[in-house]
Amino acid sequence: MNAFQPDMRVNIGGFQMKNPVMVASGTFGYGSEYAEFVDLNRLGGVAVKSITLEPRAGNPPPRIAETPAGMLNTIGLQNVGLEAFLTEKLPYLRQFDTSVLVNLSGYTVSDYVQLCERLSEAEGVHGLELNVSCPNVDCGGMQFGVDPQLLGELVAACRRATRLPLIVKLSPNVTDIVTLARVCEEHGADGLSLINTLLGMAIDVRTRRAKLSRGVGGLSGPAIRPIAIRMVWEVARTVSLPIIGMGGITCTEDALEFILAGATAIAVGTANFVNPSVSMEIVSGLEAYFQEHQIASVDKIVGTVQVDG
Amino acid sequence: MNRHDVRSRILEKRFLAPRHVWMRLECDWDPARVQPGQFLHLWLPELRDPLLRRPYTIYRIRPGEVEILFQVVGKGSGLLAEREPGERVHLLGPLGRGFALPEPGTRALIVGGGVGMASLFLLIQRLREQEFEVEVFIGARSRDYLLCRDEAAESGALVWLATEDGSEGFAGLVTELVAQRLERNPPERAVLYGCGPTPMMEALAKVGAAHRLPTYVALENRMGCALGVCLGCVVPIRREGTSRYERVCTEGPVFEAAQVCWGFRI
Ligand SMILES: Cc1cc2nc3c(=O)[nH]c(=O)nc-3n(C[C@H](O)[C@H](O)[C@H](O)COP(=O)(O)OP(=O)(O)OC[C@H]3O[C@@H](n4cnc5c(N)ncnc54)[C@H](O)[C@@H]3O)c2cc1C
Ligand SMILES: Cc1cc2nc3c(=O)[nH]c(=O)nc-3n(C[C@H](O)[C@H](O)[C@H](O)COP(=O)(O)O)c2cc1C
Ligand code: FES
Repeated sequence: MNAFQPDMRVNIGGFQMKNPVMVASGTFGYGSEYAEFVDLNRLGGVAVKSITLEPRAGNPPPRIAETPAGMLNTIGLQNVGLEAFLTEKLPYLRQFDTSVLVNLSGYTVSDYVQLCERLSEAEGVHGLELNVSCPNVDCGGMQFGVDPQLLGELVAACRRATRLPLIVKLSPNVTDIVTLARVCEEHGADGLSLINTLLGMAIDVRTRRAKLSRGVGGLSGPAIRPIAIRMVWEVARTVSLPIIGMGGITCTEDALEFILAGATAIAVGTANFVNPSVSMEIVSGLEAYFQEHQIASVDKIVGTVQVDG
Repeated sequence: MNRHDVRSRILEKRFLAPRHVWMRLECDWDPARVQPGQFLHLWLPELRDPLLRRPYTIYRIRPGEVEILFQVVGKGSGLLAEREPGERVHLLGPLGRGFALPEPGTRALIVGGGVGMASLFLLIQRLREQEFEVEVFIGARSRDYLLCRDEAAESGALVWLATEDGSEGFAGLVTELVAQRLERNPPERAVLYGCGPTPMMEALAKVGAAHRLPTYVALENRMGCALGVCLGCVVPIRREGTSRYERVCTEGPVFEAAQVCWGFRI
């Protein structure tokens, strides 16, 4: 046995985790669905599916389409709504020793503020993640994530509404993600999640129809990983907020790539669908890597990638 | 719940028709805990393209092994068909809500289109074990694609055949054959069970409604997780006057046909 015990704990602006491995919003339900495959007590954190004030029905089928090493989705934020989340879903998560990050989304600033207020009162919520990057709804979501002015106002308003760690999940569907990350920092965010899905489209040439009901959808999976790594790296170099990195993580090496690029924690998304216990494999794999390389703690390697020239 | 992700191996493979493949796979699930119509989510391990697993119904199950029957329609099924005995696959399951057996004394009319028969054999077997009267209607493009006819007959069910090209049995759609059968000799207490392409399930729903028979259909849809979290597999369902999206992987794949809001695309 290796006697060296690395410290795997990480802190995302006050959102504390026992290890850097999370599961990404929308890819893990509310935790109970993966009970047979994942020991929630071993996970660093869980980001729950986006919550809105009222329940949402979501978009018509077809909602998913596969693309090379990736998938497109247009779920449309189908969720049970705030009340049902608090009474039916949150109690389950409270039983476990894991950090709960509640992802929320709305149509207006007031929606986000109300959600922040209500969720701040709830027992068992350890942090809030603002989804300003959902590509699959007409109103709300991504509009905030692509406009620096709107984003600043939203983050400032949410900051006033909660004392919980406030993490903003940014959209990659922008020309300059660094500007938006800076806006979050200036308006009081505690951390950033990078990245949500990339807008994409696929067409069935036989039927000549778009494969998704709404034409476009969000691309996730290994196909987007290089873009996510690049964005984490760009943001980490210029903004001091800690980052939860995600986008196409399927194994320990992928997770390490994000950490070296500048992410303090990582989240596994689409890969949960393929291999339901992949998050457990990454928890063990990261620990083994830190042991093998005698690295004392996670922050020792965050953002330490070497780039020539 | 009682779901597992087993690291399995292919034990045997056979082509039943040019694009129809039968496979026997290692699997330690308790057959008694598998409902007819439940499915598994199959992964060719470490594959990144195609990325997602593929859902297949549990065609037959015995202690230590499970059988699937599938059609080659695209990339995932094509790659699976090329795999040989000894090669590894992962099986997640058993998943979904299957067919419920009817009240004793009910006649079961089972209607399968093409590879849809794969979802119905376990049901036929369970019904016959409990000595229900069973009639099986098998439909296909042509005679080479009629699946499970011998197994159904051996189980003691009455078998009806329909081919679209008329190469065997009734010439036309299997749902037309079912409608004819019901008109000629309306059964007193019966239930319809079906699996096949969505338009066929819609047609069967109409036949069932016209004859006031409870009708249960196994639906298909694209799947991500098959565990109820991605919400990618939904279809519109009407219950107690309100319609909402339900998950084929979790609330389904078996739905009461009268509750399905037909016309959706998968
Ligand atoms: C619960 C369930 C049980 C199923 N059981 C069986 C079975 O026992 N035997 C069997 O042969 N097939 C079954 N299917 C369908 C099977 O999953 C698809 O044929 C398979 O996923 C296609 O993968 P592919 O990569 O070969 O096709 P792709 O390359 O992904 O697509 C090729 C074409 O196949 C069709 N298709 C793709 N995915 C699906 C899907 N999930 N459902 C229906 N059509 C699809 C589309 O028309 C598409 O254009 C089942 C589906 C579900 C949801
Ligand atoms: C089916 C699906 C649903 C998602 N739902 C949400 C959501 O509700 N809120 C959110 O912030 N992100 C959502 N995401 C985005 C993921 O959390 C993640 O940011 C993205 O998929 C990239 O990671 P991945 O490539 O590992 O999946 C969803 C992704 C998928 C595939
Ligand atoms: S396939 Fe993910 S919810 Fe059904």
